[in-house]
Amino acid sequence: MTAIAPREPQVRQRRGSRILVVATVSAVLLFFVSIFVGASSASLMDVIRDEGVARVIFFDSRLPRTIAVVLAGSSIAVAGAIMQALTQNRFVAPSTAGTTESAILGITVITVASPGSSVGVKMVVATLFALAGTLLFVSLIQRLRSRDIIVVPLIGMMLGAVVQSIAWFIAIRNNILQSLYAWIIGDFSGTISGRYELLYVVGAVALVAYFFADRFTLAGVGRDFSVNVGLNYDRTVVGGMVLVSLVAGITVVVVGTVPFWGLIVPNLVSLVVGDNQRRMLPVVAAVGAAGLLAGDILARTIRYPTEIPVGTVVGVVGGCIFLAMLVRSRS
Amino acid sequence: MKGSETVVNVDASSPRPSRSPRPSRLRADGISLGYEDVPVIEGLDLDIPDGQITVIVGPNACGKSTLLRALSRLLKPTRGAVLLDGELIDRLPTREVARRLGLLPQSPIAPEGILVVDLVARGRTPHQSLFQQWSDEDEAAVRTALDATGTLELADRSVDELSGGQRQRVWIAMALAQQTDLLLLDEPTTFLDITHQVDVLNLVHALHRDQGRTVVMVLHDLNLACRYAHHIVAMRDGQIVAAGAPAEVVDAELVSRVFDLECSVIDDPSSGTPLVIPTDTR
Repeated sequence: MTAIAPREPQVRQRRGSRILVVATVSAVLLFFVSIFVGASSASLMDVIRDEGVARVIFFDSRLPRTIAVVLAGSSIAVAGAIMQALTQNRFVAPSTAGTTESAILGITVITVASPGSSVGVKMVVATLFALAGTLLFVSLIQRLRSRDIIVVPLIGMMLGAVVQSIAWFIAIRNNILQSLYAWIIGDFSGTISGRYELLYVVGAVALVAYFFADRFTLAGVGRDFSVNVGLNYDRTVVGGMVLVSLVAGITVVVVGTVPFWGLIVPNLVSLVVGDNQRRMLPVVAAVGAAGLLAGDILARTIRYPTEIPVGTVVGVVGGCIFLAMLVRSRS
Repeated sequence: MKGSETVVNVDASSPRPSRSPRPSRLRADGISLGYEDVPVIEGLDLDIPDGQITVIVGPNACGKSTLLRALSRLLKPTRGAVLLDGELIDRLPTREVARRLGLLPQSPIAPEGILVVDLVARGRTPHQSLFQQWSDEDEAAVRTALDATGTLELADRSVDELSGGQRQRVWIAMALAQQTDLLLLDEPTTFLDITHQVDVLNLVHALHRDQGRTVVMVLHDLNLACRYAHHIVAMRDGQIVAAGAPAEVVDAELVSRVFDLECSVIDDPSSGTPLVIPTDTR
């Protein structure tokens, strides 16, 4: 007798594992491409022979940058998937719920209030702001009678716009516009060893999320439903939002905003794999990593030898995909 | 009928009926309920007879669903207490409660795009832990629940694409998969045509008959309520007006007190239970 539950139809299951393999292999390949792409040459042989600055470039810049892209790409996508499960709305992600903007406000505030604070402190403040912003968003949509699939993220984006305006205001007043740009537009060019290690935390966060995946889906159905099957609803929702805020807070501090990433990756994956969170999250992480690696390589090569921020590349591509998704959902 | 001695005491002047030696597993003790300072129910006592089908009836907005929410710890009483197996239900871990008591809320909403089998499998949540997520026992429980509700052949379909009747049966399957001794159903027959209403109620009856489960449900159809209930609870304005075996409590006077409806009550020719015929007032 074959297992009856829980499962997706066989086709989806097979497609799911095939996609996971393809995405993981692509991520590994792109990882190696990424290591050896850049303005200065640092080929494998150079690194091995320790010729010139090759080894320094490799270990201080290329490798950290590539690891950072993998960690950020996968965890932002996973954070998006968690939010979509918790809100039961596939258009809700850190960038459409005020989370990212709140993290930006947080780091702006701490930079002005205490310019000398360490990256760790900045991260904590950004995370706390992200959490506050996200909980504000959640309480806003809970007051809302309509759970319309478009209205909910629209409210999040308006909230995000208001929060970001405050950040702009503070930044202009205090002459730190340059820094604000760096937080708003994701960019890995500044990722060198010693300045990206915090991203390992978000990798761990994504791993934790995997274990709680089913609970997030349950909580998304609603308080009554989840309490009835024995889930501590408040703890699950707040726990999920803490994980998401950690990802948003840390990635904003280290690399800046990667627009739409938490939105498009889980949506594209769920089109093929279905909505079962536990099955979906590893695929989301793999596709998130591979996709952002590709985006970052593109950002480095499109105007070689100078580079454009990956946030811009992803913004253009992601924006188009987001539009296509919106149109599809309404037709 | 055995449960009639555990009738709820509603009339303050009459002595409290003697309790069976073991108190009911689920009881409400002087509970007051409300939403945001608007009281719905005040000082209500209720004993749910074990191993029987209790049906709550009453006009719209009389507090039936509110009462059911309180009995399933979804709403905390402002005064009084709900006791499950003699313990305060809010004090018990929610998971522990979920292993003993399940609720099917009124018009529940399923996660978008979820498959029938996956939804029903959610009912197993209280029996699973973070690391032990799927056991043979879970498998068997889900299969039994699908089978009992006639939804086994729908297992691979998406819940969104089902008809109202099919969907309702799937939700009941989820509640069954939870395998709780106590099952609370809030209007399980809403949106169903008469055939499916009878199907669902027969299923509920079978649960009681074959597995001795305790069922509490809210029903709108008074005649079906009389037919399927061992114990009927009639409510109005947040108060219990009468409670007991349908044949003993349902008469024209009660219907008039509860629903403001003029009627005659005869024996149901098919089941022998009370049948309410509204008086023709045209």
